[in-house]
Amino acid sequence: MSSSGQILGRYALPLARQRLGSYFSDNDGDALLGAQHLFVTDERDSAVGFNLSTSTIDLNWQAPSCGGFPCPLISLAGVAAGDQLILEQTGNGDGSSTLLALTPGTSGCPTPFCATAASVPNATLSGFDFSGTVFSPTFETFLFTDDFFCMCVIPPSASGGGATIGGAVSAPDANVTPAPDLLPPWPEQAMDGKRESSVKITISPVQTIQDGDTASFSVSVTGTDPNDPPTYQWSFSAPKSAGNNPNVNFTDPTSASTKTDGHWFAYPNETCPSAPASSAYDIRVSVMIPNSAPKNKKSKLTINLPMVGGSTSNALLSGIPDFSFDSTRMVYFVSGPGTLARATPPVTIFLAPASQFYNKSAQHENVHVQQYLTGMLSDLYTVSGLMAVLSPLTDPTSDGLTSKYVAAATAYLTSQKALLVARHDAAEIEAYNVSDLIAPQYFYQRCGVTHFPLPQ
Amino acid sequence: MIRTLQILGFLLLGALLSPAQTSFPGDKELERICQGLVHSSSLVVVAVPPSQPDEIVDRAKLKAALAPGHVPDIAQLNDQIVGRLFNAKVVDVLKGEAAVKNGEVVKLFVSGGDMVSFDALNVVEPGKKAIFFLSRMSESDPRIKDAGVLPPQPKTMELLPLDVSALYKFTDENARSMMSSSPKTLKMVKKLIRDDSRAKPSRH
Repeated sequence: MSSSGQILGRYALPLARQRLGSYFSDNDGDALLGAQHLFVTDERDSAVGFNLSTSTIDLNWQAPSCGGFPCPLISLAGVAAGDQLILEQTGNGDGSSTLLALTPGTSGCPTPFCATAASVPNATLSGFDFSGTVFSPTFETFLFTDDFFCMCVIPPSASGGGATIGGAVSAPDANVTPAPDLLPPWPEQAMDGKRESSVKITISPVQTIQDGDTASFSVSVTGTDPNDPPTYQWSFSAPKSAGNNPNVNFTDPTSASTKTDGHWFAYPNETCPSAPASSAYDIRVSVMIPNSAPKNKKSKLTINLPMVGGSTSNALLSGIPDFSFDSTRMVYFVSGPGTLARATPPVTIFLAPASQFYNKSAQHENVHVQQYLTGMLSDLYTVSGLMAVLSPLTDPTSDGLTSKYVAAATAYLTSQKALLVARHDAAEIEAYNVSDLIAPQYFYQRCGVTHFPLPQ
Repeated sequence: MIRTLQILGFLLLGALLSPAQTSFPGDKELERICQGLVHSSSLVVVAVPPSQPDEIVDRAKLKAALAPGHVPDIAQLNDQIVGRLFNAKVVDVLKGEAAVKNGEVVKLFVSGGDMVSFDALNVVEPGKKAIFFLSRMSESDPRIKDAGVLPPQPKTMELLPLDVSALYKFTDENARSMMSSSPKTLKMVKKLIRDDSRAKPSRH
């Protein structure tokens, strides 16, 4: 297969049973990757080596025929220097196990086995399988005392239910159990890291949301046993000195996919001047793959606050004044307020409804609403104020009066804007005096500012 | 409908409404904001806005408002205003010296079709000196494509032509593009401009 995933060739593997016990890289001993070879066994009768350089099968080993029951179980134990395949045959009729070293290029092995009689340098178990009945605890301890590899199974009663594998790398003393050597100097190409690289774990990229919104994270794991799926644990971290109680709630903390809430925190923990608008959590997922060490993946969740939490419009006026014709003066004039009306000022909150700052912002804007209704801005944008500039208008034509009305009304609105700008600072201070007392006392605090909204 | 237009106007043009609740960033955050603005702006000046801006009016909307036999709703009058034009007097050119000199006027377009006269983040206050982070306004900007100028306190709705050459707008119309011209802020901005010019090789 090419690096882009294109299949360049297909090759039939001469496995007698035409099957794999499971799939490659699940570390249960039925497939191994060497420097130049992919070795595969069908667990009972055959082991073959596929030469990755020449795309040929140059190792084809067949087990002696089995007449009894149960038959020995075959698993691939490791790859030694020179791509020698170390094959383990357990469950022989006498309860022993045999270790075989198979050399690629020898094709059909001579009878009885193409086994190395003495030692196999750097040959240590890399895969094994205790699940078969052949290797049940009834076999208890057994040592193969020929000049072969030694394997020990400690009875459950002696080891608390565990089992130990011993690795012999030189001709063993038939009377001595080799010391366990679980981390031997592997041939580089056969190390766990190489094998486990086929397990791919991908986590969602960095997510950026507003405070009060939700984000979704997921982790994708490929290359594991579908019958023994991984489990997950999501977690988060924030800078230790952060303020405003950093926290992430995961809706499904043990699933492959989860949603989070969005809770802005203050880092550095400063109220005045405000901590930055963005705060970022590290989001981690721990992937527990059976028979493998947990693997961690990390992403980020950034929570933003808008610079402006909310605002109150001064779009209060609407409607059309009444025009009448004065037959005495022969002019059109503005005869009354007609449908002109002053409404409650509209408020816009730029925060998500679930934001921790929503109420704080809403209370702030409500002060501005009250300022327009009954407070320091109640004299702005009024019907009476507008009528004061419209009432003197007259024109011999209706369209002429309309034109004067538009000009006068526009000028009135402009004048009100100027007054509003002049009162802006006082209006804001009054509003902040209310909202600053409301938690969270971060980010949208006045901080002693007296001139709005320019930073000093 | 008018309300819908107002909301839509906000979404398109940024924070136009006020009074508003805002945040006051710390020095580091302010420096970060300024750094981005300095880099993106073609003109950074300390300037004093005039006592009253001109209104920029959409000619087509004004024509509709003044259609014979039709009296427009006062809320509709605001809809025709697409922004304001500040002829701000430049006190100090911090970046972009080729564009304008000290004592000259920089023409600043401030977006806003709402009844409100200022943007919640970029409040251009008459007579108040401030640092402006500006960029040239495209002549094809739809907001000024068919617009005229209405001077302050108009007697009629006669629009003056809008000279779109050398017209500037805020570098980021949806975020902070103005700063106080306090000595501290001024010092920081000048340093950032020096740093930015050193980092960016000259094209001349």
